[in-house]
Amino acid sequence: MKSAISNLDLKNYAQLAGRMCTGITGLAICDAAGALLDATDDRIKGLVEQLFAQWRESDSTTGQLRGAQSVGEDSLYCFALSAQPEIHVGMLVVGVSKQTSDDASKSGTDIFDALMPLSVCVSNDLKLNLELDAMAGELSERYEELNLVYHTDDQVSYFREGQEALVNLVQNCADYLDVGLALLRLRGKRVNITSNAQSCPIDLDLITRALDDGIYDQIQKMREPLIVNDPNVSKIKLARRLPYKILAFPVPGIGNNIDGTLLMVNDLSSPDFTNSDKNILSVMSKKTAKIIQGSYDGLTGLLNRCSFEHMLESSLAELRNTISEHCILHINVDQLHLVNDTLGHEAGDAVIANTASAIITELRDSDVVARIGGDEIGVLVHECNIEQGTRIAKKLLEVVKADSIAWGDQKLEWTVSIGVATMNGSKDNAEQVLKHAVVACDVAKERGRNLVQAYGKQDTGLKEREHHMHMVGEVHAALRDGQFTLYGQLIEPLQAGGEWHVEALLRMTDKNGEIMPPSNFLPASERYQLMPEIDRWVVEQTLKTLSMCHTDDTSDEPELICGINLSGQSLCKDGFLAFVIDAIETSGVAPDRLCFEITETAAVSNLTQAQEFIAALRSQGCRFALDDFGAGLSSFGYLKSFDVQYLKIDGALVRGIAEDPVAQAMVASVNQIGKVMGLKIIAEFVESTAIRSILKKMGVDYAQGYAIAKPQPLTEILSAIQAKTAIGAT
Amino acid sequence: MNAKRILIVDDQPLVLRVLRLALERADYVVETQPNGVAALESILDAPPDALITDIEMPEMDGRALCEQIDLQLPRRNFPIFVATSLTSLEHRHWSNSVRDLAFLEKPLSARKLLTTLARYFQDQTVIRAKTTAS
Repeated sequence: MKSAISNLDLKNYAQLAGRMCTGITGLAICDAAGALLDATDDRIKGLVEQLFAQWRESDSTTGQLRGAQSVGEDSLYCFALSAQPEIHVGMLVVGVSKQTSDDASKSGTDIFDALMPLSVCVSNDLKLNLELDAMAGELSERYEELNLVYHTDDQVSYFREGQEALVNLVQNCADYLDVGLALLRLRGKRVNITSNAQSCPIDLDLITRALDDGIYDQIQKMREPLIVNDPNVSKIKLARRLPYKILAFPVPGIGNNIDGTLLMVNDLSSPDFTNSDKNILSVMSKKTAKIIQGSYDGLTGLLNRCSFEHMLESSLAELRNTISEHCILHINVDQLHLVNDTLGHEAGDAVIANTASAIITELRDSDVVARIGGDEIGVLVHECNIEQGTRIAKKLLEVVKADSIAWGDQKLEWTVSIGVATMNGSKDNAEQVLKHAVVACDVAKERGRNLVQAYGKQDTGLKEREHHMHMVGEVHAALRDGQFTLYGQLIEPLQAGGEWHVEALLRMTDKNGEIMPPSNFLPASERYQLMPEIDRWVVEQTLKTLSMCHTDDTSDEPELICGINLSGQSLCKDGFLAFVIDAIETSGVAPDRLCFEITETAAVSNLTQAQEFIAALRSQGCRFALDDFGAGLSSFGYLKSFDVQYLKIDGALVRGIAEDPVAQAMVASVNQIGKVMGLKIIAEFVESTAIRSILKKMGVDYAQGYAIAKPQPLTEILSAIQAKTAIGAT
Repeated sequence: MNAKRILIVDDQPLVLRVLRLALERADYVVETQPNGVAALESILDAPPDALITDIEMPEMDGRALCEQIDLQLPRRNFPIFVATSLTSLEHRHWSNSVRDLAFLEKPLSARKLLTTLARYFQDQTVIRAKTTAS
């Protein structure tokens, strides 16, 4: 109002007044309280206060002080200014020189009437100004609403960001709606955020108690906003007891659930909550829901993995320089894939959701529970050592085991395996700690499931498992970054007419550039089903190398036969056979230069697949060798089952034949039986010339080992042979 | 009451009206000017406690106004807030040489402006208190 009046340009009106009436000495304007706002003349300025007092006592219905007030040399005329009928917002004072008015021999009333249109004009301007102010105010409000919506971030990707976003959102609501207190309470999510205290005092305890005593449940049940502007007439009993105005919104959760309540509280003297407030809060409660969804898992309502890792990190940071310990539980639902495969994923999801709620009911509010994988739940228990953690885990094991759900006409029951690890202020990072718990959980599964396994650094089983997990990462990286390389070891024909062979061997370069033997990474690769990928790489690279070092076709020299190892996993892998056939064709390498080596154990345990695989590639012209014969549960009986041309005697038997007559007899008998079956025999681990000569005398066809040649890069071997052939050809 | 005097310079009456309303509601004394020339005159006459100016204006634009203020009032002790709708950083280069100048994004949020001013004056009080104490 004040600004609307002070925005009036008095100079223009003074000019206008001059046209309406002669002898105008000046104009002044004051507000409804009599405070001078503007004056074009100093003399009049000084008289306004006095005039205002008289004016107040004048006719209250018209508000006009008819006739002139004679003050010194001036006659002063007062007009009430109103923006709405009968509401006076100020007073306009027009000074007219007595002399002028006397000359014109006009009465005061004449002059008053002559100036009347001016006061109407000023009032109208004032009205327009007020309207414009109202519009500007409205516009500003709407812009602030937009601003609130725009600047309340709901795009969050992890827990801490989400928590910050929620704190901001609650504070923004409090600031924007100008309420005494804003509160966000999501009981199931353990979220309880209040805005900073405003000037108006609100009893937070009273509000929280009323919420927990029923308002919260009421809102959850109603699924509708609750507006209480007058507690005395509220339908909700609890609200009637609160001396506050309340605006509360349910925060939607996943599906049809309500996650909690966003609540605004004001004291009774504040303005009522309006529809506009309601609309804004509706948007804010949806934003809250979106933020929640960014850091929580949709199915279980637990925190998601990313959030959990952040919680671990921050808990770890808090532990620095303390002697406290926290416990991590890695909970894995046993054989969930069976439920998924037989009853469908919906059943699997139900199992996960039930596991989550069973676990939650057993834990304290301060414990952090998260779904960290498809069938994995992570728990962070604060201030807890490994013994206490193990006890809690055992309790959870029992709770889950006792839980069941009816699925159709079936009763679904399941168990979990739990790995327990601790973290303290040492240098561990969250990833490592979580890995410890995962390793322990894997061991629990391996030891029979429905078990709790605590992580201990001394446990060799755990150590090995940990090494494997580390290696899995390394193998993946090696495949991706090309850190695998092919070596080869030459195999010498011991008998006349035999051709040279080379066995392709896999090596991995570690981070320091050191060459790593396969014994370091193959066991882990086998355990985690990485062999098909590795074998693919080996087949592809070997063929590529062979095709690059292809000798002249016209040469009489028979080409080197190359041995390629294949794992049992690859034999059973769908599409692997087709891949090999295709790779051979693409490479242009003659199939009969390839000799696939399959270990006896792999072939026996995947009997049918192995037979089919061998048959298919044999028909293409490839050769096959049965590797490591004599190492496993050898049975000569199986030999007949496989259509192979070579038999490789396991190095463990060969190594001792120079000293051990039994070993020599075993090798001799394998050799003999192999021969009867029409197989060529290859002896591995030929580490001395003595062994070589015994083997030669025995009639063994080929020898492989350090005494013959050490492994070296395959390309080097092939280039050397190519060079030799080339020289031979010239 | 020691009300702070804020000078708002903008050629758009609506902007002036909106900001004036919001600032007056928060008990600031508001003066408005439609361009740099009028603003400079007013500042030289009686410096405000804070200046909020637009950039693109007739007669003298916001940039020229700031540069003139810096030239004519080298010991200025009020802050300048420049409201800008331009998004490129380039146009902000010139402002590096002008001390005690901050940018505000347009359209200005009255709420944000109030927070900014409140914070500024609060900091000033703290600084002054500290100076007096020492």
